[in-house]
Amino acid sequence: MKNYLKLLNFEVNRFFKLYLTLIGLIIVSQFIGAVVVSKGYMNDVDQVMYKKQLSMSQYTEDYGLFSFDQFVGSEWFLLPIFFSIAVLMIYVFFIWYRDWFGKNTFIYRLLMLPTERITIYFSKLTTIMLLVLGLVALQIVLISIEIQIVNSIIPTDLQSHFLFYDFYSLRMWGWLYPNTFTEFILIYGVGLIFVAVLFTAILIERSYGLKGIFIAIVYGMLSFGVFIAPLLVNRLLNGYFYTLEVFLMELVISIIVLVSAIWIANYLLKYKIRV
Amino acid sequence: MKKYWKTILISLIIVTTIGSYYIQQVMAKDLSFKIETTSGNKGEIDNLIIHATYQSGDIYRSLDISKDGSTNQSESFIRELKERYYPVMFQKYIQEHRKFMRGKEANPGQYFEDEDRLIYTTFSNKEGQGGPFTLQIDILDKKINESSSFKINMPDQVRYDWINEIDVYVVNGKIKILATSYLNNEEELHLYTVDEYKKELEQDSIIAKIESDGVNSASIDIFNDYEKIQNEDYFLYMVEKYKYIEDDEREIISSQMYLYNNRNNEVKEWTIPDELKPYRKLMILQGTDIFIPVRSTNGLVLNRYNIEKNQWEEPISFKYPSIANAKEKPSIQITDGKLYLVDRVSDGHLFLIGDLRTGESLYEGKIISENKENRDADYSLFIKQIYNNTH
Repeated sequence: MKNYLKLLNFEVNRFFKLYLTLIGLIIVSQFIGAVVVSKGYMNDVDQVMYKKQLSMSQYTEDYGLFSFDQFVGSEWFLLPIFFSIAVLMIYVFFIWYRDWFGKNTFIYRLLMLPTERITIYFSKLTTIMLLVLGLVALQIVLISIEIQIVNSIIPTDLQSHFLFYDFYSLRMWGWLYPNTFTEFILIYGVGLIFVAVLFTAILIERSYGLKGIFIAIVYGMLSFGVFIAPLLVNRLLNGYFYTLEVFLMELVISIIVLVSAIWIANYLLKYKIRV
Repeated sequence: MKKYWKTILISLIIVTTIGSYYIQQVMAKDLSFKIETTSGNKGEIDNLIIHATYQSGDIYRSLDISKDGSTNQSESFIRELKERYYPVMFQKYIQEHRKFMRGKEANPGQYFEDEDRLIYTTFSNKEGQGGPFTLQIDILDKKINESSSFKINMPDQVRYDWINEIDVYVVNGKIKILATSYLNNEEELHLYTVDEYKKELEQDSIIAKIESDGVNSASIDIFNDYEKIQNEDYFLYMVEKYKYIEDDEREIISSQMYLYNNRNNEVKEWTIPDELKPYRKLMILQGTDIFIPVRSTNGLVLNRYNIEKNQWEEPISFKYPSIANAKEKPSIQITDGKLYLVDRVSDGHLFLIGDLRTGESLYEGKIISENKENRDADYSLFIKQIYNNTH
């Protein structure tokens, strides 16, 4: 346990500077965006009101209120999110390969640690999950600040009332922040399985070289195939199973995929890994 | 501990932020409605569930309102899994006939039920759109809890894009399926007659046929209670032809209503007085009565035509201070001789239950939002169905 925590902290430390940069980028881009989008909107409103000689109440009757979606749908808001997703996706691979291709094959020292080697796998997996969830949490904090920024620029008459958790009306928000905590656990659980399978695929490649790339791809596709099997079977049977039954099958299958990913990784790290 | 601060910090932020986000969501219960009785018998609403959609700006929510308050359909994941594809009326069938209901669509138009049997019918074309259709009929004997099933291949030369079932009923031992078929711009209203003993399609009669192009268009409307699975003696349909003038404007060229008697397969043309014509789309056929609701500033008037007696009867009126120009249409449901009405009034929504035999109001109440401070006062409630849980 202690070794696991040490390794975890070590991995977090390694990414921390880049992480702070990423966070800074998101904050700057979204805050500027909040100002730009609402100022732009106010400009349009002023122009229309001036041209058509409308009062505020006439304007809202004809054109409606400002919708926060205008900001949430803008590139200011979305681009840093997509960028972060891309960076973290790349880091899923980088977190392993840097140990091989870094300055002084660090993996050698890692593997020599007096601990179960699977601990390395777990610590890297936890790191990725922490980094992802950290950004997910950050966005919650940022949204509430951004609402304040937008509301300070747009006069009360033009503000539409919304609550924080109304954002799941947005499609992207629906899967980043699902309605219930159960769904939250499930969605990020699927994410965890996805990362675990990728990790195991990387270890297969690291163990068998060129041939390993091929095996890794087959393994990845196999895992995916098994994962969606309950859905496919139900589809073939024209929806023979009730939704709750499909869900339970999916739950069992997910656990099987995750456990087998960890089991294979454990085996490879113990006996097959090449330095 | 000190050297772990980065990891601890990130973990703390995750737990507190995401934790409070979901706690807030549960605590806030952001949408909450209740029914407040103003007059009448409170017992009337004991077993009622109002399926409604709440809308305010861009926000849409599904919720169920009953005498105990309201529940958000998105509150529980497991509940949503169970209910999303199967509305309450099908939950009962699933509970009672779990095996039979497997893989069946939750479309009331495809079912028939009487005391002894539950029948499910479905058209499918294996080869995808445009291929020949197969009609499958599953029959459950409720007494012995055994089911049988057979398939009928539809004639090869008859091709449709899709077939939409409207109603299934049984007359003189024959299964009848009322359905509309679509092919390119053609729409046909069919009545299929199936002989379940010979397991063959006895008749495919096309009751109405319309064609649409860019300028001229037409529609077939059917006014029966779509949710009703039991036999009905009549069905009422309207064939309307119109021409698009510009944008959404359309000019009606012809509009004709027909009453079909299921027992003797007789069709007759049916007309309504001119003053009721603007309200024709709101017609409701229930048993042997046709109702045409008309809303005015002081309530709702139900015009009523009796098919057996062949005459218009005294309209029934329910008085309440309605907002005649409200953007929400009143929601009217007629079930088992009772009128269920939900309509916008100045301080919420009126919920009225009326007895159609006596014309009296049995229950009157208000559906009101419980937390106004955070919300647009300008919300709408759309009633999808009012369901009585005891049936």
